[in-house]
Amino acid sequence: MPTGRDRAKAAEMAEATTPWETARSGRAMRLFTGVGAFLLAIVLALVAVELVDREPGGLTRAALDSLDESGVENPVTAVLLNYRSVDTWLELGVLVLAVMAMFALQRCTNLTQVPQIERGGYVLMRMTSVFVPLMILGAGYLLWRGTHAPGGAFQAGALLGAAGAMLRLTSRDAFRALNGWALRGLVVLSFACFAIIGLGFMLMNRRFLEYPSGQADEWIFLIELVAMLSIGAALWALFVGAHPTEWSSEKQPRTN
Amino acid sequence: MPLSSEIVFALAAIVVFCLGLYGLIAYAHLVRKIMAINIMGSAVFLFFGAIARRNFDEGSDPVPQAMVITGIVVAVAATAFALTLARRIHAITGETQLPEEQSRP
Repeated sequence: MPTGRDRAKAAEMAEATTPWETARSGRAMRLFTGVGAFLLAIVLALVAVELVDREPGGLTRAALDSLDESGVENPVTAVLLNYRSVDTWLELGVLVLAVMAMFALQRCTNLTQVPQIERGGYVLMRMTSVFVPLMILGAGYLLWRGTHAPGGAFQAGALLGAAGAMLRLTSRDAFRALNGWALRGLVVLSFACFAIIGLGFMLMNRRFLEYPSGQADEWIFLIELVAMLSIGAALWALFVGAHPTEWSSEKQPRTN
Repeated sequence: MPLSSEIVFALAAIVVFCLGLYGLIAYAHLVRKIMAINIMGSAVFLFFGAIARRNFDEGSDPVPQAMVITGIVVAVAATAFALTLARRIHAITGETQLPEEQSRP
């Protein structure tokens, strides 16, 4: 809602610049931006042609050569959960941060106050009934497949999040009734498990997240399993929490 | 220089990236800006995909692919956060754009 002060400011601005001047400056700005973006595209294209033609160096060879020791057969999973597992741990932390920020902005700790949305049409309802079980099954398959072929926790988690979004669109999202602690626990689960496992290895005189040799595959599977659950829960919570109507401010009116 | 599919993907990624950059600067509406950033991000993912396949006989380079996989999920989460932030700005100021950009669509 525009306040009185905003309206006064808008009126002041309308006086300061005629519509013609506003439109002209907007057009000049767009032309300038367009030319700049075009020039940038040419420079980047020259760089890309050079870069794509070049022999791959860096980490590629190293990543493929130590695949036998990594505990998995899929090099992408090996990079994600073995060589660069600290990065993956921090990326799960980014997901936790996004959910925390969403709750902070909505001034809530759970999603029980988010209003129901109108039930979808017949096609959407039927489609959800067919697709959601298949998606849950598909998530499990992708998780298992990730050890030896393209797939893994991130893909599986995204699929679970999408299943949650479909349930939300047909207002059958019973998970919304989870209390704040359970929901936040689920979102934080993989970040915490990753850290505890990593610190546990440190107690065994290894480095942070340095898997014991020969056991890497079991640890990777455990981490992937909890990562899938957390990613699915985080994506679903963000989808529900970004609901387009006010849902928390009536409960806790703000004074600032 | 033969026109390999990697070159086509990389050049397409650059075109998409610059379109997104133009959208980010030229439009003031916050939802347009969020969409523009997402378009730019998709272009970066496509570029990484192209780079991963270059001149490589034994499949693809796993390092850029791993970055894309985590990047997609993080981008979705960041977008949801950005949309929540945009709604908060709308709820407080009644505007769908930042206060510095009063005069643009």
